[in-house]
This record gives sequence, structure tokens and C-alpha cells, in this order.
Amino acid sequence: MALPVVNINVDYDAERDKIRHFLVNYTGKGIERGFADLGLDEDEPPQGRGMKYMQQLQRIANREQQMLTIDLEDIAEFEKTVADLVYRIRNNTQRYVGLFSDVVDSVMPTPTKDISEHDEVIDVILHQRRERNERLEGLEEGFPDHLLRRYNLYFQPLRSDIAMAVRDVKGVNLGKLITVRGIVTRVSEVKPLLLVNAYTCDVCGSETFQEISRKQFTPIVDCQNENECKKNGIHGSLHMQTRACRFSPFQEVKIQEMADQVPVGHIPRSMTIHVNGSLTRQMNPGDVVHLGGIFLPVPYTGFQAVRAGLLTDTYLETHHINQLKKQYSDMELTPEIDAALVHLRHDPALYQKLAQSIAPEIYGHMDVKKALLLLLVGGATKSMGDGVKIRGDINVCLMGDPGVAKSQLLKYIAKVAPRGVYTTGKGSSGVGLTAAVMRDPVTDEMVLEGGALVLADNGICCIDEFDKMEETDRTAIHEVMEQQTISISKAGISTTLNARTSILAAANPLYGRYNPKVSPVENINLPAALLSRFDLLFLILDKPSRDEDERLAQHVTHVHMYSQPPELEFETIDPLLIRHYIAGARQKRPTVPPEVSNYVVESYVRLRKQSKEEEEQNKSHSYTSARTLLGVLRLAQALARLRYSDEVEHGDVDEALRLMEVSKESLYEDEDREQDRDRTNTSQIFRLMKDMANDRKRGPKRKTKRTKRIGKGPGGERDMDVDSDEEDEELSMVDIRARVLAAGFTEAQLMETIINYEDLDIWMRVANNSKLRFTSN
Amino acid sequence: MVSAYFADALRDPTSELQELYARASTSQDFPSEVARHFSRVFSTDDTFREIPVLDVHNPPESYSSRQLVRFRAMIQDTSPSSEMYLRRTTGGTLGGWGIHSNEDEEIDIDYNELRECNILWAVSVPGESTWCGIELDGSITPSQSIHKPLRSHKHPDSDGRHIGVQIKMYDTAVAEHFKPTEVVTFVGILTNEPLHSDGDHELDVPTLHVFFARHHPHSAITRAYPFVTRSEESTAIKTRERLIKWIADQSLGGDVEAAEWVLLTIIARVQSRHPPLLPPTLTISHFPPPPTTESLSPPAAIPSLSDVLSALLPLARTLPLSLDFLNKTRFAPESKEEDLHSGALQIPQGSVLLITEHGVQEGKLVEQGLVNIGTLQEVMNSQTLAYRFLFSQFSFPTDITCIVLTEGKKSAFFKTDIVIPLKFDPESLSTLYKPASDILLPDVKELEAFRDLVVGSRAGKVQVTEATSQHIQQDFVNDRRQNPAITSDDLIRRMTIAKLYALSLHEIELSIDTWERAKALDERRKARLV
Repeated sequence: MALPVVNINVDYDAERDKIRHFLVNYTGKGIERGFADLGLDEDEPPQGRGMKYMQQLQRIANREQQMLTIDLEDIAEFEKTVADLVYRIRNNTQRYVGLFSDVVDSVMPTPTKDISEHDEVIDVILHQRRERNERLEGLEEGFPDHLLRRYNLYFQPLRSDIAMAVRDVKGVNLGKLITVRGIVTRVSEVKPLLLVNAYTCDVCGSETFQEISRKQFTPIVDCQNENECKKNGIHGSLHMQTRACRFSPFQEVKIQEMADQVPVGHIPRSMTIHVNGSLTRQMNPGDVVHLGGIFLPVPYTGFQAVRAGLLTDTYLETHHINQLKKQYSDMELTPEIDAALVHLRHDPALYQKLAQSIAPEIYGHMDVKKALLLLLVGGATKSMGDGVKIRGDINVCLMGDPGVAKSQLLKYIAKVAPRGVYTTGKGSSGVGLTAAVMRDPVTDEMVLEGGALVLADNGICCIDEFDKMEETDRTAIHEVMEQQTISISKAGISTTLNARTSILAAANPLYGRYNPKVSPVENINLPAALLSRFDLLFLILDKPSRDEDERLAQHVTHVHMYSQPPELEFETIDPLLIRHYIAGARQKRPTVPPEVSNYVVESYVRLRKQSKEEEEQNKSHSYTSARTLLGVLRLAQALARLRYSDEVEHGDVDEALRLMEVSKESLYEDEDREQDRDRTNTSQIFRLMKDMANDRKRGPKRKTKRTKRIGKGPGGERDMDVDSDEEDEELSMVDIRARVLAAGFTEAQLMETIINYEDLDIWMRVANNSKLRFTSN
Repeated sequence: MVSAYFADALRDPTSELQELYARASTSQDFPSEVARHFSRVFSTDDTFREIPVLDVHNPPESYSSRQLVRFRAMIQDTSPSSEMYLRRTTGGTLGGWGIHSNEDEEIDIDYNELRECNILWAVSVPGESTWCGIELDGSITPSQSIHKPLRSHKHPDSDGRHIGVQIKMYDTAVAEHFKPTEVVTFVGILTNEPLHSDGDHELDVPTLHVFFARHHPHSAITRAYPFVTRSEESTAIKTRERLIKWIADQSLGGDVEAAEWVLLTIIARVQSRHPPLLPPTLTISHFPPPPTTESLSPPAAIPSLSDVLSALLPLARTLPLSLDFLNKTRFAPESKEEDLHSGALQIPQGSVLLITEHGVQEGKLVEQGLVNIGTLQEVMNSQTLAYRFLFSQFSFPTDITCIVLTEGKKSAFFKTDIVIPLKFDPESLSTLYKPASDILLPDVKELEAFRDLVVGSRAGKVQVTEATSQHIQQDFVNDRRQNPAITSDDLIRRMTIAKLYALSLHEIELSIDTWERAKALDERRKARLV
């Protein structure tokens, strides 16, 4: 088939020389590579070692290899440029397949192995013919080369080649080597494609070969033997010899564009792919592939051509198949993302920013968002020597009135988590949440089909309408939430599936809306065994409050006035970046140093005591158990991971405890809240800075006694943490800022604190405002 | 000069095309030259109307081969891969546009002259009202023969009368922008050609080689907004009142309140997708089933509201739900064997869909039925329709306003934003299901005014001023203090309703007065629900 000849001035003889030079002399990038490419045997002739293509040619000559892949990278490396031969190959590929084949034929070494019964019939015939010809002192000039070719020559595109979408492949690409990406939608059966048709003559017994290059051909009827039949004018004596014909496996494949390649609102396009020879049977429907190949036109034939005028259809002649791995879509770290991640890691206000960026369109709920961020990061799962595993995944339950954007939060998490599954408690299919044993309709065998929890293994399972869940599923969830497995014993199949998943549940209170007249326990309406498995439980109520309502009304009217959401007051981080950041954070396995663990123990004891007191007063709505302790550790670990740190610090534990407390407080009624510890921003910042000062002074060995933390300053808003020391202490402002911002406060809040306490003579700024000195009283 | 071209183009478009090529063969982009030339020739409305119309009344068979026609169509499928054609023959004459070469022998193709043309499948616009057709195409002369459409699986209403045409677009830059469900008028040469597909079966289908195309992004019909007042009687407010009365009398048993809700719903469209400002969905509950005494079997009876909507709107369709219909029809388009089959919801943006539930009897809903209900609910909630492909789904934006008629307290299948129970006089039960011929249409001028009001409102835009916005915010905060059960959802709904109310009055700005009236309307509706 003729193709557009791009460079008229190309001297093809010179090209052939170049190709020969390349094939004979290319050594490959070291021996290892040669081994990898060939799956080298031991009995390789030593002289060819390292010659990447000559070695392959020898194997081809020995009928041991069928596929000869010319890697354009090799040519580029050999010629040290992609502008010359590589450029011409890419632009006029079909032509160069021919040129390369010519050269390969000419440099093909002689077989080092004799013909055997395992070889194809045509090879046997040719072999015997060749021997006979030799005996007849070369009466005939031999066969044309293309009849003897018994390899498929493919070009492998450059690795820098950008994979195109089907819709971007245009007429200008005709005849060129291009790379296309898509999902395989249909694969035809492998059919034999006739390459060489063989005939024998009834009269003289000689064979005639016919090369077939297109879909249709006219069989030859007259014997082509010049010496006998042609001379004698004998006609119609040829018979087709199917056994001696040469066929090539041929497959027609359809690929379709992927979702990310299709502009919004457009229908995906598909493309016909022809696969020949050794490349057949490599693709299955559903595979995502990069295909390198030549884009070729095929003229309509017969009736169609007559009716439609001069039109052609197009297809891609495959030269290289690159199957993409399934996790490809998950993570692809580009240099830009990497740079952004490094930048992000040094941002002191990282915690706050990341939390804000979770579902930014939902206003407020900062603590819930922080909890969700920690859920995404998770703690580290520990395996004990005896096979016991301690769960690192954090489970969170959101409970609240309808219309407080619980579902949006869930959907956002399911979207941003690498393996997030969103489902509703009223699972739609029969498989539901856990797993089911099903009978395969095709094979009639029993198969195990995983539900949402199994699918979210190593990910996050977001379950909406948790309260409306089937009883059976809820029982299974108990196991998932602590043991992280699902046990199935059905229809003779008894197995345990991994479900190492974090659970994010959303539930409505009993009777839909939160009823302030009954106790929180009644409102929540979930068994204690299940509740204790959640590290954090937030109650989000839709209570009328002037400020919130105004803000909400403002938002709604703004959207209707301008048809666009109001500008966010803060900058958000792109979900993709969040995902990468979290993926990186998850690789850390922070440990808890002894002094921090002591602190945790103390806090736990305090919590237990508090819980006991509450129980006595009959005010308890939640339980403090050993699970709480593990929960605190998990949250603290997640916070350490977020800092990309290998050690859990005091601050992490504090923040974990704070989140726990906030989550518990959300269950109390308003009136209870007044008794709460002072927790205005200023006092919290103060406490944080005081801690820093203490840490500095006592060094790592120090044991905290923080049991007496509760106390109120004169203004009622400050926490006078008076149990600590009296000595002078200087802290660098840089450290303070980093620490305070990391804890989720703003610059303005920090300044306010500093000025407030300076007025009270607690500390003073020294050294040109770069240091802070605590004044002793 | 142009008029001469005009007559030539109508009589023999092929030679006109070839002459143009002779004049402009040096043009690098001849297809866009063709589009420029012919759209200039047919630039005025009068000349454009001279082009014969291809529609169900004038099917492809009624035209001789290679005649110039115009075809107002909905793009159904843009997935066929493009085709290569020879830009010029070896003799130097024009190729493409279905022009044959007379040489029989196989000629060597110069691959440098190959250009691609885009292939689409387009169908007659589903749900287009008769009056809309008359306005755009002139009077209709019903043809005697009934056109039997080929490949009817490519039309949303596969059993209905329609035509489907293979479109070949040579101006690829324009064709790339066409999306499914868009309404476009194609002008070009009509031929009968083999279907461009990979299937082995060869099928000849009507094919239109396009000269140029007119795109109708919102609606083929346009009306002024705000309303042009012609007389004292025809102000927007008064017309609106009479329109509501007419809808109520002709289709809702005299329930003016419900009619007002119908009006507000049918003028709604998608205002914005991010953030979502979508048209509200309406359920008219307690809508009685058709009287069984009639000879018609119940599912076949179509409520008069369907005809009333068709009389007012350019695009309106009725979906009479029944178990059989739900289980057997496909709502979302689906790709089978590389061919995109249409679904009942693949209809142009700006359509109003009337869904009736009275045909649903006891029985079993199979999987297809469940999927269909989910699909329709998705359209109602988020105005997106997921087309199903092998291994993937693609979401397409829709703009379909849905009205559900149900016998019960609320719809059995769908959750809608607004539910209004119908209050009607039992005497007038039969008027809810009278045949189209029994509907009393107002006089021509009045009907025109009604359409001006409705179609104008659909295209209109209403501003919310700062003052009104402040008032609304204050109002909400106060309401919530009195009644904590009021949520943000209520505010969002009221805001939407108030804006529609203002649109129906053809106001430029949402006034406090309109807000209060819309709120009162919503309150009255809520009172009915109890």
C-alpha cells in the first residue's frame, strides 16, 4: 500500500545502510538489558553476546522467536538523535517496516539448528526446496525474500511519546507511528489472516507461492513454473495447499476513550485496532492500554465504494501494546506535585489548611473536618508477634439532623480517599455491605462476591444512613470495626476476608430529628458495643442561632444573586494534592516515646475517673473504655503522621484529647456546656506556649503533672497554668509561631494572646520582638 | 448576485458547490468556505424558509436524490469515528459531499488529499410541539405515506413518528463542538448512502451532506423578555392571571392554585450548575385516575394537561408510566455493540416532561425498571443523565423540568421539591382527561400572548437586589427564631420559587413584594398538605 511520502529526497539505499549498521552494531545498554529482553538461554552462541538485535535474529533463524521489536529508543541512543532516522520512521512507518525487513533478510544469519518435525509445513517445504535447488546446482534463483520471512517486525515507540485520545487522531496522523490510550471494549476472535497462499501443480509438481497483502485476492490458476508448465502452455493445473499456506493470527479490537479524555458533555469515541502476529491475544475487554501503532486508511471496497464515492475508513495497525496497571489512576507523582508537597510540608498552618480544604463548600464544622482529616491519614496498624493486630484505622460517626450536610462530607471523603467506597446502610444490591456467596450465571460455580466493606479494604468505607442498616450487616460491622476482617460461612464456603477499612458512618437520630426532650442515648439509638468502636462520634444539630442563620441566608441569597458561590475566606488545597500529601503521610509509622505515653496514661486515668463520676450522676452519654485509650493513641499518631514526624509529641496527644472531648461535648445540651473548662483561643494558645517553655526547660526526661490545669484567670478567659516553674524562660518567636499555627490557630489569634498576656506581665517580648521571655512573679 | 446564487443553490446544489470550488479551489479550508458562502446566500429568514424542510411530514423518500433540504434535528450520537474522503479527484474536481467519481477503475489514491469528515446521527426533535414546527417551517401538509424510520432505536421515542438521518459534517472545526441532545438545523444535500459503521450488515440510510448548520443553544423559538405590553388588557400581570385560569379550567378541574404552580414549574430551567440552581420538580398529588367508564383503557388515557403544555411550550413530552413501560423501555442511552441506543430521557435541554403514574398497576418491577426509576430521579435531583457504555458511564448535563401526576399523597417513585395536592370539583373529573380536540383554545391573539409569556419567561433573567437580599436574610432569621423546624432547604426552595414568580411576571428584579407573594403561595401550599 502506498503511503504519503513525506520526504521526497530520502535516499533509501543510504537508509538501508544506516539500518544495517544499526542492526549489526547495536549492543544494547549492557548485558543485563540483553538478558531481560531475550529471556536468554544458556546455549547462546558466545560471539553474539551483547548484540541485542543480532542475537534475536539468530533465534529467529533458528525458528525460536517470531517477534522482532525494534525499540526506537535504541535507534535514538545509537544515533544520538531523534531527528534523523527515528523521525523518518515515525513519519513513514509502514515504509520503514519494509526497509527494516529487507535489511533483516539480508543480514539474517544461517540457522544453527536443523529442521525438525515441530516446524511449520511451509518451512519444511522451503527447506527441502532449498536443498533440492542446491542439488540442482542453483537452477532457480531462489525465493523472493518476503516469502521466507517468518518473523513479525514491530517498532516500539519512544517512551516520551504522548498517548493521544482517540478524538485527537486526525488525518495528519495518517501513516505515522502514534500512541493512543483507551479502554478495550471489544475483542474479536483470533482469525487466520492469509499472508502467503501456496499452490501445487498437478502436472509438474512444483509449488507456486502468492503473497497476499489485502483483504481480497484472486487465486492463481495457472502454474508459474517457467521450465515446464508455462513453456508447455498448461492451464488450470494449480491446487491450493492449505497446509503449506502461511497464516498470521489476526484480531480486530475496539478501544474507547477514557472518561478523562472526553470533554464534558461529549460522547466517547472509539477506534478500530488491528492486531497481527505475536501481539494477538494480549488484550481483554476492560483493559486500559497504550497502543503504539500506525494510523492507516483502508479504502472502501466493492459495493460500498461505488455508493459512497471515494471514502476510506481508518484503523490503527498495532506495533506495541502497553497494559497499564490498575493502580495507575491512583497516584502519579509529577515534579510539580512533588514541589507543591514540599512547600506544603513547610507550611506551619498545615493542619488548619488541610482541614479547611475538606469539603470547603460546607461552612464551619471545623472540628468535624479535622476528625475527618485524621480519619484519612489514620494511625499505624500494629501486628503483635502472636498474630494479634491492633487496628490503626480511625472510625468516625456523624450523627445529626437531616440537612446538615452529613452526606456531602461523606461523599467528599469517599472521593478524596484512594480507595473510598460510598454506600448507604440500606444497601441496594443483595451483596450489601459485607459479602455474599453467589452462583455465577455463566459457569454455575459458587463465587464469593465482596460487598462495600471488602471493596474498601485499605481504604475508607463511607456508610450513609447507618441507623437504617440491616441487622445482619450491623452485626458484621462489629467484626470489621475491631478485627478488620469479615467471616463468611455460607453455602459450604467458610472463609475470612480482609476488610482493613476505616468506617465513616452518618446516621440520623431516632425518629429523624434530634429530640431534645429525650436523653442523648435514646436519640442516638445505636448499641453501646457499636458506639464504643467509633473513635469519634459527632452530633451535628441544626439549632437556630442568629449568626449561623444569617450567614446561611447570606450564602443562599448570594448564590441566587450571582449564580456563583461566594468567595471562600481562606485558600483551599486541591483534592489531588491532599491525596498525595496523605499518601505520603501514611507511609510514616510514628512511635510513642515513653514520656508521652506516660502522659497518655495519666490522661486516660483522668478520663476514666471523670466518666465514673458522670455515671454516678447519671449523666453519662458515652463510655470510656480501653478502646478510648487506643483511640487517643490512634488520633495522636495520625497527627504525628500529618507532620511527617516519626514521633508522637505532647501536642498531638493534646489535640487528640481535645477532639475526643469536643466530640463528647457535642452530645451535651447547651446548659451543660457552661461548666466546661475555659477554652477560648487565647488561653489555649497560652497553654501551648507554656508547654513549650516547660518542655524546653525540663528536657525530654520531664514528667508532667498537669492534673491541676483547671483554673481561671482574672478575666475569666485565661487559664492560669500556675503549677509550672518560676524561672525566666526565653522562647524564639519563630518556634512559637510554627507551633501555634501548626495547632490550628491563626496569626491574629497569636498576636492577640501575646499582647493580652504582655499586658498582664506574664511575659514580655525581647530582642527586637524575636523572642519572648516569661517573667517570674 | 446573491439571489442568483440562491435560485441555483435551490435548484442544483451540487453544481453550485462545484462552481464554488472552481472559484475557491485554492482555499486551504474549503469546507468553512462552503459554510460561509451558503449561510450568506440563505442569511435572511425569507430565503432560509425557501429551503425545503425534512421532517416527518416530508420524509426522505419524498425528495429526489441530492436535493437541498434543511433538517431541524436533535443530535443523538456523535460517537461514529470520522471518515476520510478524497478532497479532490485525480481529475482535479471536487471530492466529498457525496460526489461520485465516474471512473470505475481502481485509481491510486493520493493520501495527501485525504481529509476527514465528522459523522453524526441526528433525529427529529423529540417532543417538539406542532405550533413550534409551524412557526419555524410554515404550514404542514400531512403526507399520505407513513415514513418507516430506520434504526428507530436511535430515537428516544422509538415507536413514535420520527426520522433519523446520518449527518456528514465536512467543516470539522464546527462539528467538534456538537454535543448530544443539542438542537441544530442542518442545511445540505440529501442522499441515500450506506451507514458508516463497523458492522458487517450493509444498510442504506438517509444521509445529509452538510453545507452549514444553525445552532439553537436554548430553544429554536425565541420571545422577548420582558414582555412587550400591547394594550391595557395584555400586561404581564393580567395575561398571567388569564393564563393560570385557562390552565386551571382546561386541565386541572379549575384549581387555580395548582395551575399557578404548574406555570412556575414550566418556566424553570437550569440557571447554573456550579453551584446548582436547578429547576424545581413538582408533584401534583391526589390527581384522580381517568374515569373507567370511557372506552379507553386507563393507561392509555393521557391527561389534558399534556395537551395544554404542548400548546404553550415548544418542547413538551409525556411519559405515561406503567409497569410494562418501566420494565421494558430504556430511560438512559446505552451503547451496545459500539452503537449508542437512545433512551427515553435523551431529550433536548429545555424540555418539560409530564410523568403520569396512574397507569402503574400491581406487579413486579424488574431490574431495568429499578434502574429507570433511579435514572429519572437522578435527572430530577441533579439534572445529569448517565449514558451507559461498556465498562464506564458518562454523565451528560440535562435540563428537563419534571411534573409528576400521582393519585396518592405523594409520588410512589419520585421525590420532588414541591408537592401540591389537587383540589377539584368532582363534577369536572372528565375534563381532566378530555381528548385534545375538546380543549377550548383561546383566540389566536390570546394564545400568542400566552406563549410570549411562557417562552419569554423561560429565557428571562431576574436580578436579586441587595435590598431584597437583606430583607430575605432578615426574614429567614426571624422565621427560624419562631419556628426552628424551618431549615436551609426551605430557604433555598422559597428563593427559587420567588425568582420564578418574578420571571412569570416578567420582572427584571425580584421585589420584596414578589418575595412576600411567593412566600404566601408556598405557605398556602403547605397548608394544603396537612
